[in-house]
Amino acid sequence: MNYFKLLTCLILFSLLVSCEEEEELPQTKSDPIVSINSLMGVDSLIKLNLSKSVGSPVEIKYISDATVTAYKNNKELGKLAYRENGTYELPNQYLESETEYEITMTHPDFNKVTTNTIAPEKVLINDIKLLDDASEGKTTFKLKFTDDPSQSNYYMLLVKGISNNISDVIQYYSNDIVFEGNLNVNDNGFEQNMLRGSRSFSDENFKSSQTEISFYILNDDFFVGYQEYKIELYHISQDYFNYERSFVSLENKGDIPFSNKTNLYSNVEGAFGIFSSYALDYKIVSKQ
Amino acid sequence: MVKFIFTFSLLLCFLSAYCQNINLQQEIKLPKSSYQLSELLEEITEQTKAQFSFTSELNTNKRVQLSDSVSSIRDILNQSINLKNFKIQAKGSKIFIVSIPPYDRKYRISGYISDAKSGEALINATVANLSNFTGTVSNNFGFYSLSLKNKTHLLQFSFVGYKEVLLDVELEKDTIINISLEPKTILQEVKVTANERANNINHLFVSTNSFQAKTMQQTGVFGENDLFQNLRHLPGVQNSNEGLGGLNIRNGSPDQNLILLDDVPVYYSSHLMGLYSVFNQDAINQVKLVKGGFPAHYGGRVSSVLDIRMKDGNTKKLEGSYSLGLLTAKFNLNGPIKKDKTTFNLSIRRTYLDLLVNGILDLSDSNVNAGYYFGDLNWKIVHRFSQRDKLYFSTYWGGDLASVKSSEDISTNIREKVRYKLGWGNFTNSLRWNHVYNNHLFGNTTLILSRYTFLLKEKRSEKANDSDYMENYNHEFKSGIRDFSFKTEFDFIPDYKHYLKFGLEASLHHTKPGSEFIKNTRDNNSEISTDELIKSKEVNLYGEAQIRFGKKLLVNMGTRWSSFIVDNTYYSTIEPRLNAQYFLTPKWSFTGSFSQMTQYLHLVRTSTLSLPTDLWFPVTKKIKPIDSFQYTAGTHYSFNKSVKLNIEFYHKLSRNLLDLKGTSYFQDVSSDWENMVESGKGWSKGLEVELSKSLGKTNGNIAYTLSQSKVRFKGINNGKSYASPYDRRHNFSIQVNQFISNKTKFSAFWTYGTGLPATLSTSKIAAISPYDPSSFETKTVYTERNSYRLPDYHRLDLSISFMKKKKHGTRSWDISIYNFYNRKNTSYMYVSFDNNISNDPKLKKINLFSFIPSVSYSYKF
Repeated sequence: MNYFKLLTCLILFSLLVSCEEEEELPQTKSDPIVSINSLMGVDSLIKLNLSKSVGSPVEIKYISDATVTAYKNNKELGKLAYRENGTYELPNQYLESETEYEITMTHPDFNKVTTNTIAPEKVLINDIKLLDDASEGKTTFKLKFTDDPSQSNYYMLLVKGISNNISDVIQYYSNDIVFEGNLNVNDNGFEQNMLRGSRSFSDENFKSSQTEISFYILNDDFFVGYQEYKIELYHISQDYFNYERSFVSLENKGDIPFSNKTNLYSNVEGAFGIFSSYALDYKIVSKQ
Repeated sequence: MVKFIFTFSLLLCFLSAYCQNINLQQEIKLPKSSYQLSELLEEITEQTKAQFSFTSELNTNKRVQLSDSVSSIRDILNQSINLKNFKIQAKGSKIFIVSIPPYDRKYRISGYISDAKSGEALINATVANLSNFTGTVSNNFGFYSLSLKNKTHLLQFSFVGYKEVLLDVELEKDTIINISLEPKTILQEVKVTANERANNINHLFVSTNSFQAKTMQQTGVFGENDLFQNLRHLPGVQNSNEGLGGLNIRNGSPDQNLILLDDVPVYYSSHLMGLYSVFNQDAINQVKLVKGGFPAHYGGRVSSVLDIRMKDGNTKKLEGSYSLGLLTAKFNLNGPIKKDKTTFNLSIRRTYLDLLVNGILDLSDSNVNAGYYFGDLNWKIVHRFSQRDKLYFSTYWGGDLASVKSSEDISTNIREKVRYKLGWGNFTNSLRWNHVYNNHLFGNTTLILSRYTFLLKEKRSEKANDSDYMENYNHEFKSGIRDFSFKTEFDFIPDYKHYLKFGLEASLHHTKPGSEFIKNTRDNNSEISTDELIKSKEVNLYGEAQIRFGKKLLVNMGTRWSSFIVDNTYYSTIEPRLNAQYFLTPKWSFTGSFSQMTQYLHLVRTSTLSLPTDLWFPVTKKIKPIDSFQYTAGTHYSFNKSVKLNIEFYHKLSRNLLDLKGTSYFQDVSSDWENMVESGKGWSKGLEVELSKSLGKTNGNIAYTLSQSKVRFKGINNGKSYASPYDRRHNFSIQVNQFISNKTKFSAFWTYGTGLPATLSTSKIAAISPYDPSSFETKTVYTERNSYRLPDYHRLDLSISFMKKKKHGTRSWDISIYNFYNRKNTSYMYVSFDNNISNDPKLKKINLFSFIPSVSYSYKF
């Protein structure tokens, strides 16, 4: 739980008499550190992106000369080939669900880095209903799927608006308890502040394996007239869940004074970044 | 040969039988309960064959009343014979009752020392025997006990700020003398009447500062005379952020301070994020800060002990005070309910910030209604049943409450009203019973309830067009800790060379990391209610002995055995404590100490400040208790009764300290906290110098601390050690109080400190979007912890008080200026990647509390 923002508001009266000064940034005191980025979907190619931390001016510096080896259930799959812009790919190897993948990276300038993920299984959307409540200015969706109660599951829900075969991730809201208040429409709640906008959820608050989630979009939010909506249900690993929440948390934290100086969630030891996986199911519904 | 062995053995048996003393523990049965002493001795002889030998001084005609029919010889004789005048010795089959020469006979003087005007107990007041320069001090309840030989003695009773009392005593029996000391008028000059060797008392105070609340001079932000501000002028004490963030003692974090209010631990000691302490000056009698060399009766935290005693209330007459400041109003009333028997003390304090904020919002016709206030209530009642029994009940309730109400249109025809309430506070209670068992033994038994609660409430209701509001969302969150404790402690004072303290503490800690209730009727969701309670038990046994070796060496040695049980996990620690003081001359002494402290409760912090949202957690199987080992060495010189110089070096090692992992973020602290933190080690060392003048028209102190503090965590900062958040290399302060006249007092305080460590992000990484794995964003990263420093800190505070006697009391105007020369002290700095013209990141510094004048009015009646 984080109530930090409210508490910061409470000391606003002291900030009334405070002020802010600006100075040149002191010299960076650390060496560059590797950043690994990979969020792979089941049935997609095994690939990742390698770069290193940089000072100012901001400019991503890709690593193109690393040796990256992939393993599947502790058996070597082979070396990943470098493509472009820091991307390494294992040709003809597609991610399988319920399978463990590990990668190691070696480079003369950096220490060896290892990380792994277990690809989750696809969770099917059983049903999706769309209710257009014009009087309230919103379109409500009701999504049904089956959760496996024998294990802890993590999910992410994205709504995409489709117009002329182009899809955009669009903002949606929910008062459903599974989102723990993070997607309340006018949320300025104190508790949820740091996770405000997070679209991931766990099965912690599910009452039964047959789950129905309600969420809505506000019709006034969009300038584009979407003809269809694509509802994507991601079954994600716990690392992915932590990464998404940490990503949102950092966005919301911004420059709030006195906040803890922590980094984006990482499951890579000795480096930054994320190496994780998901399984996706989706449904497309037409606007009524 | 066999014959020889047999004969020799027999001889040995005889010899042994002959030499064997009669056993005084032998029990005998007495047919009567009342005897003449001679008759009783004959009865004993008849039953045990023991022969008595005594001098004519023993009055054998006196009647003796016995409590038990079966008793040991020693118990019977102890009841029958005055051991002050006779000693009992067994030799062979004879029992000698030997008269002690009159000049060797010891009697005991004991009683309470109090303020003559208010009747308040004076804690640590000195009782010195000027005949042989021995002495003692009064304990936390004002009780003292001193043994003296049977001759005339000149006793001196003294306490800083009070007139000494010199008393000629000639004891012929144990005597109770209660002493009242008259407070000195403020302009009274220092007059040293006794030899400095009167300081050779049987108490040892290593790394300890004590003062009475009424002598607190230092005003804080907005003119409030605050306890924590007054502590910050002591060496080794600092605050981590300007005006915010609690106390840091010898580089320890605020949660490592054991703060006791009438023996009850206070878990969150600040209002307004640390701007004010929760301790209202009106309610406090005495404050003692122990930074090292901890006596065995203190434990549970690793950095310091702040022992605060509330006022009992005036025993003579009803008195009180009220005051109005820029932010707070205070009221105090205390006095006797039954003269010299029962007293009470009531203190209330409240801010009116909420009224001001709401007034401004109303004027601006805002849809938002917001407010914040804090308040305190201290209540104490004391009843004296007899000279030997006293009962104390004290309670403290204090809290902060913030609320926001707003309404807005969430769609074209729906309006939503949202109400938030956020509150936190302490509720402490103690019921204590003092009993003087005899002139050697003083006991105190305490029942304790301490509660800290953090509460959040959120309610939403909606209405469509002209209909009424219907509640559709209700969320409550509560966290905190509750302690139930039993404590019994004894002071045993056999003679002036020894002072023993021993006791037992047992506590139940109920930790509530978060209970939650959510009701959402808008989407027909069912209610969710979660409640987690972690129960843990703590038992401590301790004993300590202060022993004087000759006139120069005083030693306090003790041990504390602490044990903690939570969820089938058991921890137990033996904590040795040793303090020593050696007097090179009566004015000059050297001290040294070693103490081990163990802390079984961890505070998980949600920011770099000390916030009410921080959660206390007991140790777990994975997270072990914090242990600290502190060594101190110092020298102390008294130029006179007023001017003192203290120099002390400390070295502290700590293990199992916690810090947030580099990639931690808060989602559900209560379930994830163990995975969010990392255990590590810390070490601090420092040199403290203090020159103080406590009496006279001009008084004050100068304090300087040179220190270094580092920590190391395996998974943080690549395993390299780094500066702890409380590492301030130099810390200097000077405080001067000047009584310009009987009516006017001026105070000045200047402080300087090296900038605290800071973590800055000067690097960025590419981060994959969780919503689109083909796109990347740049995110700032922190690669080195605490590798930068905030700018140096300094400021000057000035205050002046004008007092005037009125018909029914004394009124006072206090004018103060915080940060007189408007120094922009940086409280926080960060790297901003705002889109400015050059597109280069900039370092931004936030300065709080520049020049703040304030005024307050108070009236004492």
